Amino acid sequence: MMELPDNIKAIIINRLRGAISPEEAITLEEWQRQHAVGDEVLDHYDKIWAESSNTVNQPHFDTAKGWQRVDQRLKDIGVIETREIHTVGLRRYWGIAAAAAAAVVIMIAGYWMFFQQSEQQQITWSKVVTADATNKYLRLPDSTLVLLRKGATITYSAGFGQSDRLLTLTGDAFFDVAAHENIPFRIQTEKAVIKVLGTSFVVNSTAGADRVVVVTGKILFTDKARPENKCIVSAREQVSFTGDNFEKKNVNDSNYLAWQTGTLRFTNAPLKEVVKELSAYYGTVVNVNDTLKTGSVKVTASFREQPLNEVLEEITVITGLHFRKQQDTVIIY
Amino acid sequence: MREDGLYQQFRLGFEKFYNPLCIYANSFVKEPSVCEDIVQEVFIRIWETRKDLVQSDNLRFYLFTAVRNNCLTHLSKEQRMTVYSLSDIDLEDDDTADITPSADETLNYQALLGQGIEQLPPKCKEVFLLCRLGELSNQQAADSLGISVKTVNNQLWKALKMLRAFVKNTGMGLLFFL
Repeated sequence: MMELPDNIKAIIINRLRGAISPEEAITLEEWQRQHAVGDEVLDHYDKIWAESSNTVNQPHFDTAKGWQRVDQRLKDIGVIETREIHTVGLRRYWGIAAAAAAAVVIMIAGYWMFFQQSEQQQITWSKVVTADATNKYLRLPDSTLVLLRKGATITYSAGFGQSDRLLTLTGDAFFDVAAHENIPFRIQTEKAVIKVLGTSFVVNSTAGADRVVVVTGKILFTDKARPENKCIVSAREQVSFTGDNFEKKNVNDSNYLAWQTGTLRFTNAPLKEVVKELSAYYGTVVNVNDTLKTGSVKVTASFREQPLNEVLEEITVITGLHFRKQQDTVIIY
Repeated sequence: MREDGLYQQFRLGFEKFYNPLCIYANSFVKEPSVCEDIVQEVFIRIWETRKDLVQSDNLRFYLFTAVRNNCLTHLSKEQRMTVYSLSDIDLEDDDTADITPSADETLNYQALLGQGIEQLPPKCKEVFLLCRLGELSNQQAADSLGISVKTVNNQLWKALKMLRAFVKNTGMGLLFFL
C-alpha cells in the first residue's frame, strides 16, 4: 500500500477512535474513491484496533489485592490518630507536592507569642482551636487539614466553607487546603491576607516581617493596611513582607516545617539565612554582627532537635566565628 | 458523606485502571511486583494530594503520565536500563524496521496480535500501548509523552501498518475464519 498523506492517516485514526467528523468522513470517502481503496482495508484496521485493546488489557495483575494494599496504606497514613503517623503523612506531602506540582499544601509559621494579644476583638468568630501542649492536627469542615504548632490558634466562623473559607491565625500552622474552586480559602494574619490560588504555601509571621513560602502552586499576598499592595508568589518562591515592601526570592532548604519535623538542614546557606531560620525555630533572636563581612560565609549542616547552644557551637566551629548571649538575643561575631 | 462518595469513585477508578496501568508500567519495568508498587504509590498520592482529580476527566491522563514518569525514575535510579526519552526527531527516522512472526505457530487472532505488538519498535510500541491501554486521545498521549500530536499519529499509523502486515503474513489461514 502506498504511503498515505498525513491528513488521511489522522482521519483514519480518528475514525478508529470514533472521533471522525462529518467533514473528515467526506474527505476520506473522496480519497478512497480516488485511490480505489476499498472499505475492507479500513475494516481491517478497525479490527486490529478493536482487538488490540483486548489483547493488551488482558488481566495480569491482581486488582483486588492491589486495592487492599492501597486501602490499608491510606488508612495508615490518612487517618489522623497519633503524632508519629502524622509526621510520616506530612513528609509525604512535601515529596508529592514537588512531584505533582499542584498539591494544595499551606503552612503558616511565625512567632506565635507576638500575636496572642490580638485575640479579644474576634467577636463574630465562633470556633477557636488552640494547640496547647503539643503540635496538633485538625480537620476543618471543608476537609482541609491543619497542623498547628504548639501555641498557635486559629479561629473561623460557624459558616466556614459555605460561601467563604476565611480564618485567622496566630502563630505557626501548616495547611493542606482541600480544593473547592468556587469557595476561596483565605488566611488572615496580623499584617496580611493570604489567598490560596489553588495551591500551597507557607507563611512565617515574625515580629518584624511576614514570610510566605510557597510549596506548590500560587498564592496572593495582600497588605492588610493597603490592599492595593499585593503580590503573587509561585511554587518554590518565598516573599518577605515587613509592612512596607515585598522581597521575593527562591526557596532552597525546606526548614519552614522544622517545628514539626524537628530537623533543620542547611545546604551551602548564607549565614544570614541560617540565623533567620534559627530565630524562627528557637524563638530567640539570633543576629550576625553587622560589621562582619559575612556574605561569603556559607553553612552546610543539619540539626535534629538539638538545643540552641549546641547548634550555635557547631555553627561557630564550622565558620570560625563566636557567639555571645545578650539578654534575649544571641549575637554571632 | 461527600468524602465517602469520593472514595467510592476513587476505588472504581482504581479497579478500572489498575491492570492497564500495571501492564503499561511493565512495558518499562520488568519486575511485575515493582510495577504494582509504582501504580499503587501513584494512587496513594492522588488520594493524598489531588482528590479533585478523582472526578476529573483528566484522571486517566494523570495516571498514565505519572506511572510512566515513576517508571522512568525507577529505572534511572536502578541504572539497570538505559532510559530513552521520546522526542519528535528520533521518532521520525526509525521507520525501516519490519516485524516478522515466528513461523510455525498456530495462534488465535489475539495472541497473534499480542505477538505483533511485542515486536513493534520500542517507541512505536510505547505510543500504541499508551493509546490502547489508557484510551488516551491523541492530544493527551502527545502531552503525556512530550511529543507532538503529529508524531503520535505517525507512530500509531506505523503500528497499525506493521500489525496489519504481521497479521496478514502470519495469519492468512486464520483470517478466513474471522
